[in-house]
Amino acid sequence: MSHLKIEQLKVNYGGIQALKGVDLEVREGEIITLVGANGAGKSTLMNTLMGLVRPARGHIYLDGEEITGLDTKKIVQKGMVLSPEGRQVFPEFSVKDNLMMGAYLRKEKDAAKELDTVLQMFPILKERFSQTAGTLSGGEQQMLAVGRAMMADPKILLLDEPSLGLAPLVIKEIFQMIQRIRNMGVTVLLVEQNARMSLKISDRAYVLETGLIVASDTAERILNSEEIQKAYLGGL
Amino acid sequence: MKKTSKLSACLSGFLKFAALHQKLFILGALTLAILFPFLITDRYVMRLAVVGFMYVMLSLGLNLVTGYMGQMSFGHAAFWGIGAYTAALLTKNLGLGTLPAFLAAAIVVGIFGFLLGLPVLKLKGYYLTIVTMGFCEIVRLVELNWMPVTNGPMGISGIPKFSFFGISFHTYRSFYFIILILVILTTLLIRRLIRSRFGLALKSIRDDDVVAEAMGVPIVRYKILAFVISSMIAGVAGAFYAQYITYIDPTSFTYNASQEMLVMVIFGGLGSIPGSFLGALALTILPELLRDLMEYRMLIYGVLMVVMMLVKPDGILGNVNFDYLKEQAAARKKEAVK
Repeated sequence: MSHLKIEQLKVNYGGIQALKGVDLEVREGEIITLVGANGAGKSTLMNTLMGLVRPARGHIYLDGEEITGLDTKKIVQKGMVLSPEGRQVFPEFSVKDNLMMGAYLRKEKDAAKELDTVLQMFPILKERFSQTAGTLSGGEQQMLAVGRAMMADPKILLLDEPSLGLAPLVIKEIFQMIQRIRNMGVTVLLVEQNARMSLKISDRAYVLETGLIVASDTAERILNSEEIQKAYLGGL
Repeated sequence: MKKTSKLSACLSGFLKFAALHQKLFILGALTLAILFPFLITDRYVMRLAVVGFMYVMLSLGLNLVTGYMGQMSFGHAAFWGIGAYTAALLTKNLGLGTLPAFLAAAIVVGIFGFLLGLPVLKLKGYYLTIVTMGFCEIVRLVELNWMPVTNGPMGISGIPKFSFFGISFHTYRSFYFIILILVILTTLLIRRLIRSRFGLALKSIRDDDVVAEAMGVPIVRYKILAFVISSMIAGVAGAFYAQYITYIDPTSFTYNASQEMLVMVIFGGLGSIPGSFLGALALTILPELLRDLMEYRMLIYGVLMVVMMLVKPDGILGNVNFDYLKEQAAARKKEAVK
């Protein structure tokens, strides 16, 4: 059964059509990559899924239930959580408070339990526990951003450009972490400009171009498709 | 350059010490505050202490909105004024006691805060600042022109002093303790709020409202709630002021007073409870100390503020992570023992 289903989603920003009718499907336990250039509408799509942006048209279903136009709060409670672009941690918060923010809608007892799990997943965060998040390195901040999203105990995790501005070695670590998250039973929808790396760990992929899905296939086939290579993977 | 680094090293050393001995510091300050009126008999000093503590209360309330939520409000003098007028009218005309006057001031000001915050806090950015500036001026004009109620520029005089359950209080010592209790209650309230998830959510709105929303924080509702609580605190401070000074007129509650409160909050440290104490007390006492210098007073005050903003723009105690300092100091101690 499809976990997340998007039908003919259209979003306008003022007079500009950011999404012109996107169809997308995520099945349980998959890692899906959304590939696309700057301005293709990737982040818009993510924000619309989370209810941060209202769609002009179209439908979003989570586990068969329509969530289009719901409040972000309700969507988070239903198990879909976003880790926003540009590792937006709260710089003046301690690592602990950042993590606790992720479990904002959960009971305090559950949050405390989840904290142990997340700290086990990200031992580096344990070391930095009461340090201010702004003093963390870029990679650590990204770990924190993902850890924070995991605090909500998501069924499906949306990751918006988790590798943005990070060193290659750190990026590798991030992608390993994404695989670990999937192995824990969390479905992952990944937006990436670093398409090669993300396609390697994905099951399927969609290519978004100026608001439209222009290709969708298994990640392997997308990775090997000549057109895609030319457009998004730097020739080769 | 060297001098400032030495200064900041000195400050950070002191902060580390304070972080390790937080309880001791609080206890010490509290003891001092309680003993103060028994050690000092000078009326001028007592008056300064009472006014200083009233500003502490105002700063604590404003800090909730400006320091923790990151929204500048220039309207707190208006809330303070509405609280003062409410208490003045109720105690003078209806003979209400102090406690019901406090309560009424809080409710009336809370309603004004809600009505003002409702449209504005739905927007992001500096709208609140602009609208509260206007609000302050409107309230002043109403106070100035609504003759039958506010008595206009002549103000309201002969406001009864504090009375609890029919017993009235007239000594400076009692005024001092009334404001001290109000300050302690306000501190406990703010501390409780800030350490709760609500406080965490407020700070998250300040740091990044988009992410906060993505985490499921109902940002509009929380912003309005914080604004209402903050204005209610200002209202109670106003009710105190009216019964303490026994005469109020519109000139006290102008835009300038809002600005002073903001300066106290920013000077002491945005988002810091000890900062609000420091800012309010220092900036109440400082101009008095400089009084001998006559007209150079405000000049020195201004220069001090500029230097302050250059050396530590987020205020003296702004963004001090006491928990982290404590942890670090404790770790170092452990190592030293080894």
